[in-house]
Amino acid sequence: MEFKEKRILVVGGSSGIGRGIAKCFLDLDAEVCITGTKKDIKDYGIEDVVSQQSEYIQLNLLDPQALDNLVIPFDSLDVLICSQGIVQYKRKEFEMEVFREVLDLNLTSMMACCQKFKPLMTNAGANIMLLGSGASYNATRGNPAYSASKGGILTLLKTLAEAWAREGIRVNGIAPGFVATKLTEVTFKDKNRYQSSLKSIPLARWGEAEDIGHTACFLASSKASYITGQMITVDGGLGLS
Amino acid sequence: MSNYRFPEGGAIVFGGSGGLGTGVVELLADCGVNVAFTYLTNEEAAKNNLESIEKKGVEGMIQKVDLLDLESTTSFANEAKEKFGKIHSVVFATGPFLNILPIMDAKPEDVYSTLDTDIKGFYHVVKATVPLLREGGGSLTALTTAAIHKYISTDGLSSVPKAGVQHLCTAIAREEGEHGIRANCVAVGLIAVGLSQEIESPPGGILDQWMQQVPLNRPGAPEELFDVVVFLASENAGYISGQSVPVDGGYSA
Repeated sequence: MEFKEKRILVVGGSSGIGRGIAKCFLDLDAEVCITGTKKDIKDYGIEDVVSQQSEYIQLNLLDPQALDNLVIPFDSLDVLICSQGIVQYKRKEFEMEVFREVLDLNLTSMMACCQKFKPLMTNAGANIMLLGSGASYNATRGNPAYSASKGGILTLLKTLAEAWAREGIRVNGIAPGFVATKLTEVTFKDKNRYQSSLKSIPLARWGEAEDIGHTACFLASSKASYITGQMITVDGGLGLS
Repeated sequence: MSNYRFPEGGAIVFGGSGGLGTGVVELLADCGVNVAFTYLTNEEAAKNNLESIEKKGVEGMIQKVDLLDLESTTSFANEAKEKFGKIHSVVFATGPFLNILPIMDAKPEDVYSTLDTDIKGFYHVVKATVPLLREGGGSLTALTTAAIHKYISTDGLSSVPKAGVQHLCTAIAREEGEHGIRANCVAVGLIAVGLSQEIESPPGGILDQWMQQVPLNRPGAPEELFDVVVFLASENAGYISGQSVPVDGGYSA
């Protein structure tokens, strides 16, 4: 398989969509390193291929010094995936302190990761993927910071794609629709909200983390070597109306 | 990633004798998919392609079909279904010859005929195949142009009708999703195969202007296009619907 001996770093790969992405790369024999905020991968309480086969590094991107001191177990990197993200409900994102924190984590820390790891990305075919959202394109009711950060990711990835194309680094993104993770608990754990969300999805189901993982593996592979600067929406048609 | 996942049954590729369609047919066959495909003028290329995929061990079928004729488009689709038992993927890879000129300089009859070939032709494809896809779900994938995402002067005869094709895909994604049907477009950039090779472009003309806007600074290789088409058609892209994916080296970004 194509990812044998390829090195993949999934920032925020400890849970949710990032973990699903890490799993798909592991299935294709990649060497995967993930980061998470907890001390140990075991602290997430999930026994799977990710906990068994990936390297784990604790990384709290809300600490501005954390990246400076970070050492990853790879001396070169083929694919960087930034899947870190938070959201604050109950109108907390209308408070400036919270707004700044969400922007720092969701947007600014992605740029910081790209800058930090780009020097390691000298292999042919190296590429970066940033996780966006339907909120990259549309308003999210009650979440100005989340929306602004995800909208920012869209133009950030296009700008980096243009800037680094001649160095052979592709930069793309994935905009997932509804996927059951801790960020979407408020929707899928509420029976009424969940049912009404299904009505708005043409394919009439929520996505699985692996749905996003398959697209990530495709975009990262040489099969997608002429795609750069694109955000690919994987949402079962949710965003169509 | 060499094997994209497909269910039992077969695929139909409309336009399987041109530069782009031929490669899509071959890659589908490499994935073990039976393929029925159409041609309009290039019978020899279609026959060669059929022979080549049968050597790969899949079943194939070809027919001359004018997509402007709904009846023959439908009967071809139904015959393919009969032969393969089920149709899970449909690819639209035809296109009219490109006249490169400002829209106001185009002859009305040329505008009408390009609109017909693309929009009416694709509508007939949709009309003929969606009832078959409803039976077990599947994918509809149309090749369009990256010029829909970012217009380039003198390309109107290509991009205006293809924009109609794209919106027809959106309609299917929206209205047929409950049947498990996905519909997507691949927005083709400057690729070193197919109709773009036939364009007459003097130095400083449309091809040079386009190339200057490609961050990757090269035309795409044909395989780089075929892979995206087959990925979107496959179950690996099972949650992607209603999208247009540019394969353009960053041109439209």
